[in-house]
Amino acid sequence: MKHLFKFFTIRRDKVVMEIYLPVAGMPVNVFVIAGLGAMVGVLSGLFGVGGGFLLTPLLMFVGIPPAVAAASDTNQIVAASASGALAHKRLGNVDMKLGAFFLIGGIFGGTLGAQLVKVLRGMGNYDLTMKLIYVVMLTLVGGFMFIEGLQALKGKKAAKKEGAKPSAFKRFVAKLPLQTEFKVAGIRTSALFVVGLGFIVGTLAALLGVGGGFITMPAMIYLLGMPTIVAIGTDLFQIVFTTMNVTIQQAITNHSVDIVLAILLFCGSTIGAQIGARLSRRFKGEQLRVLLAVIVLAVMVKIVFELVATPGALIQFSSGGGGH
Amino acid sequence: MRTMLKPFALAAVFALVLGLAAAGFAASGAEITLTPDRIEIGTGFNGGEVKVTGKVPEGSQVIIQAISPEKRVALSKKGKVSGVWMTVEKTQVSGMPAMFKVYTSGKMADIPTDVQKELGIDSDFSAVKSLAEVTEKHEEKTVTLDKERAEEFVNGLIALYRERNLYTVDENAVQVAGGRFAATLQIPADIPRGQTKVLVYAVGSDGSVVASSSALLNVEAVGLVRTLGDMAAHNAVAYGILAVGVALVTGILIAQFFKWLQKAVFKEEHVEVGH
Repeated sequence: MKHLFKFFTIRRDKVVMEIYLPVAGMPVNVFVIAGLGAMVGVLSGLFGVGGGFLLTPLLMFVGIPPAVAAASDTNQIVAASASGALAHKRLGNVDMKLGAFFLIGGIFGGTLGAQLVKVLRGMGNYDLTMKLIYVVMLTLVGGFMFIEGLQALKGKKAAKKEGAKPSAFKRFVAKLPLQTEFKVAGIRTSALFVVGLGFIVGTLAALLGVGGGFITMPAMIYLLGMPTIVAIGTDLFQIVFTTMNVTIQQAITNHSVDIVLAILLFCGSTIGAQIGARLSRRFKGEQLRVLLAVIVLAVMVKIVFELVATPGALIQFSSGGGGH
Repeated sequence: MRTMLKPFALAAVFALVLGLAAAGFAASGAEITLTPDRIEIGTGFNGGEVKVTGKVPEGSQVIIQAISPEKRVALSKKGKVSGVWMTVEKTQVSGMPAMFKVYTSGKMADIPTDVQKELGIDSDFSAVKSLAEVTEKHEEKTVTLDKERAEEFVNGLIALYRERNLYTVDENAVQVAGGRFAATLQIPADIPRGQTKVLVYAVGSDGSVVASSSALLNVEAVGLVRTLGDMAAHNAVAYGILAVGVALVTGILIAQFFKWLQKAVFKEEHVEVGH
């Protein structure tokens, strides 16, 4: 218990709350980390997104090694999604059958993803791979939200293109083997497609430290035609187990999970989410969506800048943190 | 754990101090004391200070060195490949201490160059550089780089250490009066764990080392940092399960707390948060 009170260290005549991260092996400012968590929490409360895809890059910006940032963010997502998943389960919003198929892919993908992180770190190019994937992903997510938000602001109700466009894809999925009835979701689709989707989301969870809601949600709602509430419940259900698996895999394979960092982030994000949920009732959804899109695109631009700008030093440590 | 280890550590330090003190006195009496002689890396650790005090023959210049154990580090060299910076070369550097600090009572220029060389305290760290061995892996085989290629990595590593205040040279940083000296070692937050050796040299008016002594600074992780750090490194499965368990319990408890807060304080019945 004693060390809990050592958080308050008085240095240079001002109170700075520094906490030493046991796995990252570095001290961080509690306010900076919890503040980042809170910021992303506010966004997730406002927009109803998970926010993992913003948290990992932000942690990297403040100097947390990329591998530790991704793995600890995954650990934080376990905490952030647990109670929501329980609540949705109680309300009957989780399609357990679909969730189970999703998890088969998710567990496999997450385990493979953690191994991929190890191989890439060994080659010294995990940071690069991760940043490149982030650029692609944030561009797609941010770009889509920006356009959709602008259209909504202009008053054009996002024209119902969905009915026509994915039909070719739907026909393709309908041809896949293992067509299965999912009762709670009220759909009939190929279990293979669900497993495959889980696999992609699981791999990304390990590589990037995200829950993957930005892929799962559109896929479930637009491609599979699930009711939004069941999509949310089932997504949260799979996120809890996928991120639990990824956390354990990262701990074993890469020694990159920092519990202290994860708890700090979670404390920030949970308070932020409360604030965000309250704020969201006062603002117009479309304005908020454009704002989030701008934030996402700004983070993307910063990563692109990091990739192309000449580094301060050509020789760098390549341990990438963890493994003390 | 700590109390069990303490007698051994104390005995070892005691024996060393006795031996070194005897040697020191033989070389005409230098003494060195560290306060504290132990750095604990706990949850609140953010670097620190160690007072170095002691005796030297009157009228001599004082040089203090703090050298941590050697550490093997992996380095990567970045290069631009199709517009993007990426790792183009990976090496391992061994033989160099992860911390090397020098404090002098006067100007470095006042210390004869042969003494500087002997003690390895020149501001280019050339003595430390010569200890370095740079290797590269070539399909299971470890190859030692020749001096020319190695130099880039060694210089790069020293630059990284300097940036983190792990390699420093501070002139006019030791106060000397009447045969007593005092200095303050600045301990950076990422000080390597293990035993840091702190040495004091007295340089007489003839420009030669007339006395020396040394003491050990124990740097170790304690409390939560030690428990979690050790567990993450050596008991990864248990650590992973702990991380998941802590997250689940914290997540559910805090969500319950906010639900209670909403009911009790804000008198709200149903607020959807997050998804």
